[in-house]
Amino acid sequence: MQPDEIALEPPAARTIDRRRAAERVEALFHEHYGRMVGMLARLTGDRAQSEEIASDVFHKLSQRPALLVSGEDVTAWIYRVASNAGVDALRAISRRRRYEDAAATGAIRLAAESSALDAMLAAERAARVRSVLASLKARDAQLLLLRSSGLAYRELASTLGIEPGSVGTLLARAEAEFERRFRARYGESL
Amino acid sequence: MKQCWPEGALRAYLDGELPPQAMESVTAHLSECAACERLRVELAARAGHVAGLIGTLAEAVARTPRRQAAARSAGSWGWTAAAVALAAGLAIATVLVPKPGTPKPAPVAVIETAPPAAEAVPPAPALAPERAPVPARAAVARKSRRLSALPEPFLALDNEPIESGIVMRVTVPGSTPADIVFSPDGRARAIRLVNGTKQDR
Repeated sequence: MQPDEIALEPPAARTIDRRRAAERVEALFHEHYGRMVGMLARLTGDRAQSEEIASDVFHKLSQRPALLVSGEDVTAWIYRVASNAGVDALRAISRRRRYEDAAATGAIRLAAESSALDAMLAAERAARVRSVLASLKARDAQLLLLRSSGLAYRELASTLGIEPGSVGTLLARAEAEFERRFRARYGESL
Repeated sequence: MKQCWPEGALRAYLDGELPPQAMESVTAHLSECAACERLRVELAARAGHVAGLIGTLAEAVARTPRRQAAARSAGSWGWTAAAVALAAGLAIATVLVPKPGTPKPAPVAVIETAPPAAEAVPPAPALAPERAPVPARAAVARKSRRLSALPEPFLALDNEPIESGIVMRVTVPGSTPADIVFSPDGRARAIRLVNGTKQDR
C-alpha cells in the first residue's frame, strides 16, 4: 500500500464510535426528515419520489460516519445534498415534461371534487412554477426553494456554501430572474 | 448624510436579516431617500410575487400526492383484497354446502379484540416479529409435533401495528387451511397456515 493511499482515510474515521454515529443519524432523521420531504415534494410535486430522495440522503449520511465527527455543519450538508438531488430530479422531470402530464392526470383525478376547478388551476400554476424553477441556475433554484422552506440567511449561507453577507444580493437576483422568466413564458397572469 | 444601500442589503432588510444597527440605519435612510424607498418597494413586491408563486407548490402538493400515494397503495392492496375475497368466498361455499358425512363445517372463528397488538389475536404470539416476519415457505416447511401443541405464528402482511381485528379461518377443500386477520377497514393484516389442524382432528 502506498503512503498516499494510507493518507486517504483520516484518522478520525478509524476511531469512530459507530453506535454513536448511528444514533446521531437517527436523531437527525427524526428532526429533519419530515421537513425535507415537504420541501422536496413542493419542488418535485411527487411525495413518493421526495421520500425516496430524502431517505437516500440519510442513507448517504449513514455511509459517511466521518462527516458526523468532522465538525462540519451536518444539517447544512443534508439540506445541500437534498436540495441538489431535488433540483436534479426536477430537471429530469422537466426534460420528460412529466410534470405537465402529472398536472393533467391530477386534474382529471380531482375533477369529481367540488373544488375541481380550484384544483385544476392550482395544478396548472404549480406546473408553471416548477417549469421556471427547472430552467434557473441550480443554485438560484435551491436558494428560492430553501428560503421558501423558512431557512434563515445564516442557514442558507452554510447550506449553499456562500458568504452570509451575499445572501441578500443572490436572493434578490434569483427572484428577479425567476420573475423575468415567468413573465416571459406566461405573461402577467398567475 | 445620504448613504444609499445596495440592493442586497435592502433585500436582507426586508427579511429583517441585517444586524440591528444596520436595520436602524436603513430605516432612517429610507425615510429621506426616495430612490432607495422606490427600490425597497420594488424588491418587496417582487419578493412577495415570487413567494406567492412558489407557495402554490405547497398548495398543489397538499391536494394531489397523498391521493397518488393512496391510489398506489390501493393498487397494491387490490390483489391482496381480490385473493382474500376469493378465498373467503370459497370458505363460505365450503361452510354452506357441507359434504355428506362431514361431522361439522369448517370453523369460522370471529374474535373481537382490543389493543395492544399482542392481544389482538390471542393465539398469535408471533405478531411481535412484524419487522422480521417468518418466511411463509419456512412456516409451511416447519411441520413438527410441536405444532399440534403450539399454533403456527402469524405472518404480518405489513409493518403497521394491529390494534383490533377479526380472525377468519379460510378452508379450501384439498389444501391447507389458513387463519387470516382482518382489521376493521377490511384489509388482510396477517396470515398463518393451519398446519397442525389435520393432525389435531
